[in-house]
Amino acid sequence: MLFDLLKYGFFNGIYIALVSVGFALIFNILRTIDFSLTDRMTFSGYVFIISEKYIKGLISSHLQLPFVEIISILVGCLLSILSCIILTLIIEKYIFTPIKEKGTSILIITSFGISVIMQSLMSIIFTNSTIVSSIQEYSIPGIGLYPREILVLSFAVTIMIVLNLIIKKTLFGKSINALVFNYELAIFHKIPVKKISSLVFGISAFIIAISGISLSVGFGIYPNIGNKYMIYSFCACLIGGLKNLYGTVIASILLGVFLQFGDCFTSPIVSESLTLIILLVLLYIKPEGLFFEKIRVI
Amino acid sequence: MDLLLSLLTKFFIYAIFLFSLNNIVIGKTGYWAIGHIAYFAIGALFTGVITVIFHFTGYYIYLALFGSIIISIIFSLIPALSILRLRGDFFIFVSITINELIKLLVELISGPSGFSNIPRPPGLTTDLSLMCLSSIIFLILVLYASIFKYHNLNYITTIVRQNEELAKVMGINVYYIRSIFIILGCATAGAAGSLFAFYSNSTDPQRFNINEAVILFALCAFGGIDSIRGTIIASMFYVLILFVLESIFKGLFQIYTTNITSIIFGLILIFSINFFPQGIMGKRGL
Repeated sequence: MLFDLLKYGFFNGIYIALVSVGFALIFNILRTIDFSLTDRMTFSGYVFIISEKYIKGLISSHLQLPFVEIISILVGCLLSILSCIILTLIIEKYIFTPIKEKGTSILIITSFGISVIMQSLMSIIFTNSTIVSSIQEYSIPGIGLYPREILVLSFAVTIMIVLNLIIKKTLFGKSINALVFNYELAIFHKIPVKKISSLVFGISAFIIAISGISLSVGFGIYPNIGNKYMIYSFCACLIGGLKNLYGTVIASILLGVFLQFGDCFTSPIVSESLTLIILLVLLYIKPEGLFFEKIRVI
Repeated sequence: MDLLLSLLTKFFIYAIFLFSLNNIVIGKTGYWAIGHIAYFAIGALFTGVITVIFHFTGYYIYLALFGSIIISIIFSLIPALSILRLRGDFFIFVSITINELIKLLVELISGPSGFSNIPRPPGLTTDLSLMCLSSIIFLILVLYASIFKYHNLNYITTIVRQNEELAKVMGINVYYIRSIFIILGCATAGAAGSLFAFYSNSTDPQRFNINEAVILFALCAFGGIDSIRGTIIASMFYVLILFVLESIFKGLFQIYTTNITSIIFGLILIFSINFFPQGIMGKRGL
């Protein structure tokens, strides 16, 4: 049982880690946290469920193709990721970029506004009940894991390594750092700010879409699911430090295990409250994060 | 007539709450307490606990009104302590965290659907008397605000808000001034929450979630920060929109009411905070 709890907690932590990495990436551009990120995750999950169902129906009624399920899943993933990226880029271009210089507080409030609008639209269209994808999953015999979990785990590991390499080694990563440390100087040196900002938002949308798809297959989604992950990932970001991607991921996994144990031995409400209390204490003691390079005044 | 009375009562209760958020907390301290609805929830929760769990009857129910103010003051020490170190968006984070915590507390104590059938104390059983009480409280607040405009402390809050270093040089205890107004605002919000529990006879935890908090913050931005007329117009607008939507979507479609309200106020928030920071009646921006 202990091993099972650790396993479930670990995979729960992977989802939190994916959202936290998205938060941390956007933090580099906006210098604050974009709280509407998790609602874009919900959106991608809904798009996946609907497109997968529709394409499966389309293929099986009109075309006689082998591997109907795999094709529909792949096309559904592609559509979901694309729509999430397009939505993110629209929000980035028309809402965040024009107001970026007005201050971080205005950005936060605006992201809350977007979040409220998206959640309400989704609950009007898809109702408030939980929807689970109709895909049948079979666990791999011997290991006791689903193929989806292995895929998400390998994706998370790959994206972590690739992102770290990109940020530390390439010119693109160095220009992100330049933007964070001195915005005016970066513009003076002709760093393509708009391009970099779009790229970072796009990468974050890609990561978020993967976690949204996986959530919709595994646990089912409802319009307000984003709020839960928002709080957890925010807590993980503060523990790990927003500039330190490895720290964020480790903190997320620890938090996932902690939440799983809390759910098992007490109740979901108690474990969630404990997380919030940890978050509050952290904000009091060390608001810049436990392993944080200080980059902005609090 | 009953409808008008009910709407007026709702208007006065929301006006008291908005006054505490708009004119006291944001207006005097300059801290954007987006999760201020937590104190509304505390007031409603405490009223429910006293009447439904402990079965207080008769005039003892009035204790709920005073008790919720005291409990709100105790809980308001959390944000009041946080402003020792934090400002700007980190205060917003603290505020959201408190809001989520209190929402969980409400769910833990009152169950997922909240308390129902909260009795009213004798003397407040009709809507008319409840409206009179809330209008009296609101009038006292308005009177206080209009007298306070000419008080020395008002100039001190302006200095503290606009230039903190200058205030420190002048020997003003910045932290003390700010925490006083945060505690005062939270106490007022607690009273409004208690009145709301009497008015609606129930405490639904979904009324205190983050979406509702954003809507009420949007109302502040819409009315204009630190303006009494703005507060009155904004709360009237909110009550009217809720009434119109509720009368359009009846029965099965009732879930659309909250969602459409959220969409409207989300758009108003984004628009007014970026292009129209004074609001309709305010003199200064956010």
